[in-house]
Parts: sequence; C-alpha cells; structure tokens
Amino acid sequence: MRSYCSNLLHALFLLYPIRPMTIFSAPKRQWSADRRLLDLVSRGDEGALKAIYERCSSRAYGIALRILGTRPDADEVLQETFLEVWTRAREYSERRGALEAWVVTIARSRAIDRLRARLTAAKITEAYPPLSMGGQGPAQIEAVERRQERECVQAALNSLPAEQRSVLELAYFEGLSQTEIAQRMGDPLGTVKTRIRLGMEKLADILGAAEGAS
Amino acid sequence: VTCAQFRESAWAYALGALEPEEKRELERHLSEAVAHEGCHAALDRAFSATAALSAAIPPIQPPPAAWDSIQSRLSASGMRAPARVRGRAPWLVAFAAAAACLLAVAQSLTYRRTIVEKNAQLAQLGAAELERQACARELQALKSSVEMQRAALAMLELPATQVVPLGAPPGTHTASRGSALFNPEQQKAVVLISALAPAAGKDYELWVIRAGRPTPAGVFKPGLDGRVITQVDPKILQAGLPEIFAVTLEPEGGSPAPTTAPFLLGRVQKS
Repeated sequence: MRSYCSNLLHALFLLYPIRPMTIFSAPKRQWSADRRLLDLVSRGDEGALKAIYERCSSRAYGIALRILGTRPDADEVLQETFLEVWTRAREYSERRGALEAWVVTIARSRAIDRLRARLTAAKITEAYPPLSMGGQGPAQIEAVERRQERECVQAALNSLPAEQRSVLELAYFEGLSQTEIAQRMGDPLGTVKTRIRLGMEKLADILGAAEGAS
Repeated sequence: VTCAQFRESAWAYALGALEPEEKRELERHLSEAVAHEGCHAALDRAFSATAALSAAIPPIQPPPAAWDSIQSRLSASGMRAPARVRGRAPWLVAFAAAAACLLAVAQSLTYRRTIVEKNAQLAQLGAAELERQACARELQALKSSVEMQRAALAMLELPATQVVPLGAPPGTHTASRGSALFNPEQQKAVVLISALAPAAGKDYELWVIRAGRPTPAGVFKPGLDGRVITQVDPKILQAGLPEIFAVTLEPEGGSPAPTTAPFLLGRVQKS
C-alpha cells in the first residue's frame, strides 16, 4: 500500500507538467512542479530522483559523452551527476533555467572535471576525438520538440562568426578558461574575452527571440 | 570589480571560463551589500544562455543498467533515505494517503478542479512524513559535528587563527569549496568543506603537506548535505607547521600517500 501511494505521488508530479519540457524555456507552472519534485529529492525520496532521471538522463548522458568521448567515462559521470542532484537538490534555482538545464549543467561540470583529471593525472597526450555533433546512434531517442530545439541552438551557433563560435565551443565543451583559449588559439586574451562576450550576447538574443516567438 | 565589469564578465563566469581569482572577485562583488546595477539579471541571462548550449548536443539514452548503478552507489555511500520507522504511524499515513487517493479519484468524476486540490493535500501529507525523516537525519548529522563546529567557532575568535581558503588547483575546476582554520600557536586545525559529491567505494582524504611531503590527516565521507567538518590530529601539526592543506579522492579507507591529484588546495601564509 505504501509503495502504491508513493508511486501515485510520483505519478502526480510527473503528470503535472502541462507541455513537454524544453531546456531553455519552461512555463512557470512547470518550474513550480520541478521545485516540488526537488523538495522531495532533498528529503530523501528516491522515487522523485528516479522521475528526474527518466526525464533528464538522456541529455546528461549526451553531453557527458560529447565531452569525454568514451561510454565508460560517460557512465561514471552520469552516476556522479545524479548523486549530486541527490545531495544538492536544495540548491536548485528556477531563476537560472529549467530543471533539465540544471541537471545538464552538473553533468557538464563533472565531465569537464573528469576530462581535466584524465589529462592531468595520466598525462595522456593522445587526442580524445569527440563524437560528431551530428552523429545519430541507434540508441538515441529524441522527441520532435527536442530536435527542433537542438536545430534552433545549432542554427544560433552557426549564425555566429567562426571565431566566436570556436571560443564558445572550447569553453563549453572542453572547459577551457579564457586564458587557456588564448594560449591555444594564439590570440590576445582581450580578443578572446571580447569574442566570448559578443558570442554569448548574440546567442542569448537569438535564443531569447526564438523562445519569445514559440 | 564594478557592476559594469561584472556584467561584462558574467558570460565567461557562467561558461566557467574565468581563472579562479577572477571568479572569486566576481563572487565577492555579487555578495557585496550594495545596490547592484543589473548584476543578478546579467548572471541569470548568462546562465540561461550557457544552459541552452547543451541543447546543440543530441540526447543519448544511457545503458539500461545505469539507474541500477546509481541506486547501488546511493546505498553504498549511505546516502539512501532510511527505511520508514516501524510502527503504527507510517501505516496510518499510508492509510490516510490511500483514502485521500480514493476520494480524489471519486471526485474526479464530477469535479475536475477538486481533484487538483486533493492531490495537493495528498502531496502535503506525504511531504510531512518525508519532512520528519529529513529532520531526523539532519539532527543526527548536526549532533555528530556540533563539537567540531564549536571548536571551529572558538578558533575563529583567536587572533592567531589563519583562514586558509581551499579551492581548485590552477587549471582545474570543482564545485567543492572549503576553508582550513589553522592556529599555529595552539597547533590546531579544523577543515570545513562544502558541495562534496558522494563517491561509492571511495573516501575523501585530507593531507597536510610540508616540504612537498604529504602526511595523511583524516579520511571522511560527505554528509547528506555534501558538507564535511573535520579536525586535524594535533600530533600531525606538532610535527611541523603545515605549508599546504590538500584534499584528494582515495580508495575506501584512505591511502598512506595520495593516489590521485588533489582537487582542493590551500596554502598557509607564512607569518
């Protein structure tokens, strides 16, 4: 009976959203439901964590695999991500995006930590080729709205000048600092800072306009 | 850092592309009790745009066993929610919850709006029990660390106590942060760390480093809230003044010498 009621509770939370989740926009009502879901997680409700896992794991796994390039590492990062969601549920702030974005941000941070540790500790010099951004494996599942969202972000990235896009990709997917990017690209630090600022401003404008139009 | 400088750097901050010192300066500015000129809004906008970047990557379904691994690690790290207390009360809660469920279902036939209200009541009922469990866990954790908290507070009142910030080594990143409170006169040190993720089959280990030689100074696991407070054995400090405090992730039980690179470091200022 307890199990039944617990499952019913989780089902209620899962059913609450009024439309599919997107990563950079979510109705306030959904955010509120996310907050309550995370409240349950912070109180030790494993079922609530499972609900978040079912919703966010494919995105978290996708970003980890993109950064690390190997499935064993991505598996490990996925586990670390949801253990961190478990311990940091109270820190979630709706002001900085939807629940899915928060989980993906954690996955990205853990993946970059692992990438740096791998390169530093093992002194590995060989390159780890990232997966192609356009790769379509048989195990990938992608709803229509997610594909549209991805196309929107890719279009926004593609609309940036190549040098701005490059610095954003190096910062986001490889976790390089502005100083490290400047060293790698052989550009002055000030130039890199300007490119990051201009690129991000433009990206935010495009995505904000797209969100407003949807 | 001015508000204008903060707004300009918020993009790089959200991307994680700042050097540790730059990052600390921005965080200091944000925590200043002044009338900020759009700093918080700029940071929120930067975080939203950064989060959106991930949407450029296609989602990939994790292996079917991934969730089982997460559950195993929750159990192994002792982070799993404790079983409900045996007795009548949980059954009463379950019974009441079930009754509320049935009531909500029955009313749904005629009053769709009412069912939403009942669902909210049901959620509150479950949440109350979970809240009680969470409080019990937190109380237990507080009891175990209260002595060390007292020691830390007492040390802070002493003028000779140094606060050594623990942060990620240059060129690395970690969400964890900490401080070592070190009093060279009393040869005491207390280390406080936050945002530590649980790691199955592994422990965190504190090191006191002198002349490049690390001495093990304590093995620990993070609490439910990801925090740790630990006191360094005075004998370790009596052997000589520490130069660096460091934290690594080690196999369960700790190691006699570090097996991984430290992810938190703090250098003691020479007096």
